[in-house]
Amino acid sequence: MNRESLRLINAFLYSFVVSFSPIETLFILPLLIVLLHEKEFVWGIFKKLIVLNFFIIVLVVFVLFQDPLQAIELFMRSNLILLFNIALFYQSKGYDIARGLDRLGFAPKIVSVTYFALSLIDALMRDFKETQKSLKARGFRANTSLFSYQTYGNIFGMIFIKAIKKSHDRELTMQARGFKDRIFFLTSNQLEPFEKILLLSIVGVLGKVIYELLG
Amino acid sequence: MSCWVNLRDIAYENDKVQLLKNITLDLGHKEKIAIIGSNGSGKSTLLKIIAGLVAPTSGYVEIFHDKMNTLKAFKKYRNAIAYLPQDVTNHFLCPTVIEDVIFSLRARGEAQEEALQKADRILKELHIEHLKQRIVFDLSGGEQKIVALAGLLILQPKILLLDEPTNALDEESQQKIVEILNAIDKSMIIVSHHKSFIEQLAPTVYRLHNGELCSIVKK
Ligand SMILES: Nc1ncnc2c1ncn2[C@@H]1O[C@H](COP(=O)(O)OP(=O)(O)O)[C@@H](O)[C@H]1O
Ligand SMILES: [Mg+2]
Repeated sequence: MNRESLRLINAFLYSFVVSFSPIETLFILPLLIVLLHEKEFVWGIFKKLIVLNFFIIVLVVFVLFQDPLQAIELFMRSNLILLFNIALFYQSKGYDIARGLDRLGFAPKIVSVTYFALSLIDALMRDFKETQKSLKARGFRANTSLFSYQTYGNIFGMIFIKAIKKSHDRELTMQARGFKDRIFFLTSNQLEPFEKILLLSIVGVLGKVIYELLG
Repeated sequence: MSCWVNLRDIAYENDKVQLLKNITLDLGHKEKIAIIGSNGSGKSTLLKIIAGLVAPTSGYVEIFHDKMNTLKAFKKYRNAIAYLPQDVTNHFLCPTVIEDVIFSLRARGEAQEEALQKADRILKELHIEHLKQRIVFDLSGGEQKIVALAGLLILQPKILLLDEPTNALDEESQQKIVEILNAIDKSMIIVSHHKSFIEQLAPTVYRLHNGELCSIVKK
């Protein structure tokens, strides 16, 4: 067991508890622990959360007309889970998800496919950011005109084509470098007390939920 | 001088467009050859054919006088041939520098400890020890190219196939790459679109034009 794998377990467990048990104030405890641990990045974390909320709100508005109470619950649950996961993996530039899966003994193929998918998305995001910069540099302003939509349509089309080309080129690399459905991680990251405390707090929440369900 | 790579009458057609034709070329032991040509002239495609990653429409490649009839035939020479793709980010298969540099050694079954020792040596040689724990995608273009070279050189290949090793680099990084490549005493084919840089590296320069290869400088 190392840091990444315990992080992954924490993420799974917390998301599971928050999705499937009745809402509890106690859900905030593990969240606070993570935010405290990542306190220097809180602003960035919330910025990401706000961006992702655009998608959630669309969903929530949909449900709102049928069942307002359920809509609020949906909103809270998804935000709790998102905030927890964003904060937990905020600094994880080393593709901790793939590392975690590797340490947990998932099949090499699953690990490498996960890693390649993550790094491809990463590469495309970088590209997109560069394109956005050059759009700005060339005086493009996003508004609701047809021209704006067209421009964005073109960019997404280009990114799509790039994704295909990139994955093809990476396939060639795999051949050239002797890839046989396995990549190799070095595992130097030791367990930190933070991950253990977090696990304890989540198990605590789970315990309370089960106790109340039974009692 | 014995030849290590021979191209015999290579042609390549893509969507009915004749991209390469009549390409015959011999690369000798420790010889360095450069290929220049404008964008879209087919340089990258030719290099992929030599690397055994793309099959020619007709003609064939010989590696150490062994005729490659299919792409599979290249398999036994994979460790002898090192290929650097034009977009270096496509070279990386692992997140950190050290993990990526030892990748090919690990993939062919070498133990982690040995692989790490070899990596330490090569990183020192190329003066990039300080990058060891960095994420490859966060490095500058020049650093990425050097890290990729380290990942190739660690296998001690006989033949290096480099697709634009200096493209999109500033002057200083270009010079660094030139120095590194000049110090490597191996057979090499280097593809580039700037001639000035290539002349510092290879005595023999070919131009790829209208699908054909013609020698332009012979010192
Ligand atoms: N996978 C591919 N499918 C279709 N066309 C391609 C593919 N790869 C390259 N081409 C085309 O082949 C031509 C030569 O490309 P390339 O070998 O990359 O040239 P260069 O490296 O000299 O710039 C270009 O016109 C390019 O559009
Ligand atoms: Mg090219």
